[in-house]
Amino acid sequence: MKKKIISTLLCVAMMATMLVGCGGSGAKGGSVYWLNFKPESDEVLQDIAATYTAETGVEVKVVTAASGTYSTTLLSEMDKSAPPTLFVIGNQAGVKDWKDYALDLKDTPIANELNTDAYNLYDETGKLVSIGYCYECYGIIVNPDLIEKAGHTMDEIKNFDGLKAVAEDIHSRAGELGFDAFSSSDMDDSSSWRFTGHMANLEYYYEQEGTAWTECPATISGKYLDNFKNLYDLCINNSLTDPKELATGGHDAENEFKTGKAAFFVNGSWEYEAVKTDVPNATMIPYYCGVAGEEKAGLNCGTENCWAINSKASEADQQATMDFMVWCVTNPDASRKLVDTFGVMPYKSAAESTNGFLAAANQYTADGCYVMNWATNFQPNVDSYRARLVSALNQYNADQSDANWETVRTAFVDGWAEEYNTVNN
Amino acid sequence: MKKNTISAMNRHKTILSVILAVVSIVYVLPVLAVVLNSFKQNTYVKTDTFALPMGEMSAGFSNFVKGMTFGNYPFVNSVLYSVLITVLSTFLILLCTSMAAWYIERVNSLFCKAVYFLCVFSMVVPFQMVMFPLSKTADKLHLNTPWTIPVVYLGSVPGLQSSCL
Amino acid sequence: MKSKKSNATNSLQKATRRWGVLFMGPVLIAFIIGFVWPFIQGIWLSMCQFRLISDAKFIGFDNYVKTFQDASFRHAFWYTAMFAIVSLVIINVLAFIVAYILTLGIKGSNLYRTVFFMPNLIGGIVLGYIWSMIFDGILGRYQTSILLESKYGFWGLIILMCWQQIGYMMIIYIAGLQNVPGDILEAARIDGATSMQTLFKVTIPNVMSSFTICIFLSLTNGFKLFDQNLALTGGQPFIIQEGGTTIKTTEMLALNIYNTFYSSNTTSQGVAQAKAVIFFILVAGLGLLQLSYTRKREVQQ
Repeated sequence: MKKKIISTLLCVAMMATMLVGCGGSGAKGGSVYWLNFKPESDEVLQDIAATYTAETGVEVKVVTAASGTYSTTLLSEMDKSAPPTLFVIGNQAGVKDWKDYALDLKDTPIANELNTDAYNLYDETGKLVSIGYCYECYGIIVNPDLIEKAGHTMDEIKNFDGLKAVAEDIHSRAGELGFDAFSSSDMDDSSSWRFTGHMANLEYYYEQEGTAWTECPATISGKYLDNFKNLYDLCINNSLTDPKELATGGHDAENEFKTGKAAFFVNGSWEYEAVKTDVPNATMIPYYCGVAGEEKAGLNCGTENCWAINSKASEADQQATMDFMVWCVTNPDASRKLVDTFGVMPYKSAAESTNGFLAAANQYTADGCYVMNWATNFQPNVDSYRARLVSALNQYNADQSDANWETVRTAFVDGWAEEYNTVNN
Repeated sequence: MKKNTISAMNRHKTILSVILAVVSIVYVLPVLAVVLNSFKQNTYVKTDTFALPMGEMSAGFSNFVKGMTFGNYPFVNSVLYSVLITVLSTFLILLCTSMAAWYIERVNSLFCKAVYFLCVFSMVVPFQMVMFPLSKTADKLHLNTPWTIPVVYLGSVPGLQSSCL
Repeated sequence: MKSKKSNATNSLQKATRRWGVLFMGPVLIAFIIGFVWPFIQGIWLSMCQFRLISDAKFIGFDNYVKTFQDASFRHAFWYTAMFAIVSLVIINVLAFIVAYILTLGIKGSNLYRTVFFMPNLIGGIVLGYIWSMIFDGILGRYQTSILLESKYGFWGLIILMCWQQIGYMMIIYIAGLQNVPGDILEAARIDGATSMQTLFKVTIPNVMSSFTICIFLSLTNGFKLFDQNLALTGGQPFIIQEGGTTIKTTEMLALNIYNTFYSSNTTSQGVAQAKAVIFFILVAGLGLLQLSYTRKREVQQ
């Protein structure tokens, strides 16, 4: 008898373990689940979420996908019983994949807070799929103090020839100066996007020839690929690191720039917070690459940070999410913190930006230079397209032969068409 | 004559022992490299993989401190979760599969044979085959918390267990 | 007498059977959740077009057609097969040699056993990163990297797998070797067999069952390899062909399926699932075939 009781108890205990999970949070108003894709902002967002919950009682969960895994995380999270209510659709490929899961944001309270339409993404039917919550700029970060130490001035760098002369001079005297021209341009996952995603933009931008793409072109010509090569070669051959060692990565480019070992650093406005204490005068210059008239070039401005609301979420959750977004861009304290981590938020009542690189971008615009839009956001099947570009650039870094550059060209141009086909057929 | 073979054998054994000692040391080297590199500054891990963490390369214990406290997902928590999951699932698996194996052994019905075959069968199914549906099922039944994942483990491993018993 | 006995077993069986639900229930429920249901769903999904499982649409065998047209899948298949065979041979030969030496009774056997088994305790992803660091540390001196040459990637993965698996297989072989009856060995020695003859004619036939298990495990492990492949090379280097099609030279089947699943295309999830089904049939077929083949060669004691 005793045995029977024990075994029954055991059985009950086991069943209980199985059912424990089924309890969970009940439905009480809506809640917010933000799938964030910027690991560097995670800490701030958790803080913001906690503040909002403390103020309003609405539950806000922020989950950050690990670096480089946003799209896979999104895919598995969206299939769950409690999917993200707020997620990021940052480019045209994302719009294609997720437009059916995004609420039309046209004329919603959050859209009315925007001060520009420039960073919004629409699908082909004109539905407002996602709206920018911040924008960024990228180019070449420069430490002007080092340039002067090497006996040059920033005024010399107004086009590719100027940049090349300065960079090559610094590199040739690196031993004597104690610093080199460019910081390392690693090709590992944590760094390769600076080239396959950002620097590649100069080719796409100029290839648009003045009329910005509105959807992903089926093919590209690679007409300005030689200009990309100009800048890329300059970067890898005048740097602290032997190009043959770039494949593995592991060089800390940010640290090289911060500690004054390199004068140039290819990156974007989000680096400002990290470098401003060590290099207070740091500024950003455009990708000079030898295109005619590039003296009038500005920085690459755009965003991949666009909020979308999950259309399959319950109405209460959608409402809660909308309220939270509006609070983020109107509450002075919250928007201050967010602007400090994001750089700038394109909303009427958000806090002012203090980002020096974005200020540089505005200065270029004020001086009548053209803004280079992020045509890179149209890259088809992004991860796969960039992966093959990395592989080709690895081969090229190890041996800078014409044949290897042709492989890069194939990956760049033919790869585009191939990925376009994969996605669209 | 016999003595000779024995001493020859002893000699062989000594040689083998020495060879094995060398191989063992080589075997441990990768782990040693990891330990060494854990004391190095990030930049030097890939550039000076096998150097001792001396001088400017040395990061002291800062990597460990950072590892334990970094971000909002502290390592300590992950370790605790791992321990929890391991203990719970080991307990569940041992208890349940031994009961099942005992039952299959005793009762020789067609049903039991079918279950046994299914268990062996599950050993050759690659995880990719069930990965996506499994995560979906686990989510639907709310089994994707540290407290309930052991149930999923119990379901995914009985093949190996019951065939061992 | 006989009938009485069977009656007794029958009543015992009946008594046991009453408790069947209790004994089998928990495992069975978990097994259905953790394996049977996902498995069935997996087969169904391989004939669907879906992005999220909740909105799958049945489309028949299109996914399978696409799979067979996929050059990268074919490459991954041959690469995996080659890897599985090479690693199978090397791992088992080395593991058996080590096990044989360790059963000779030399000093420090226990310590060596522990050392050889240790790498097995490290998880696959971590292993991949450890070795990628080591290989690049070495290859870096020669201005190259494991990501630049597919032959480095191949042999690197073999070395990694040997490091991880030899200890495990060694334990199984040791158990087998210790079970070889001493009297047979003694008889062989008295009959004047040389140690080589004893090894090949007596010992090995008697540990055939260990071989069966080890070969089965290393074959299926080789085919199913994923973590280590992802962390060590992730498929690099690629061959980029004219027209843009790309072959990831060191991508194995499991990684190929994973990459397909997460590529951005409305049909790719279904294709990935179809690949997984084909992959499953392959692994299951090979594994069971090998089992039945080596089982025949085992010596009954």
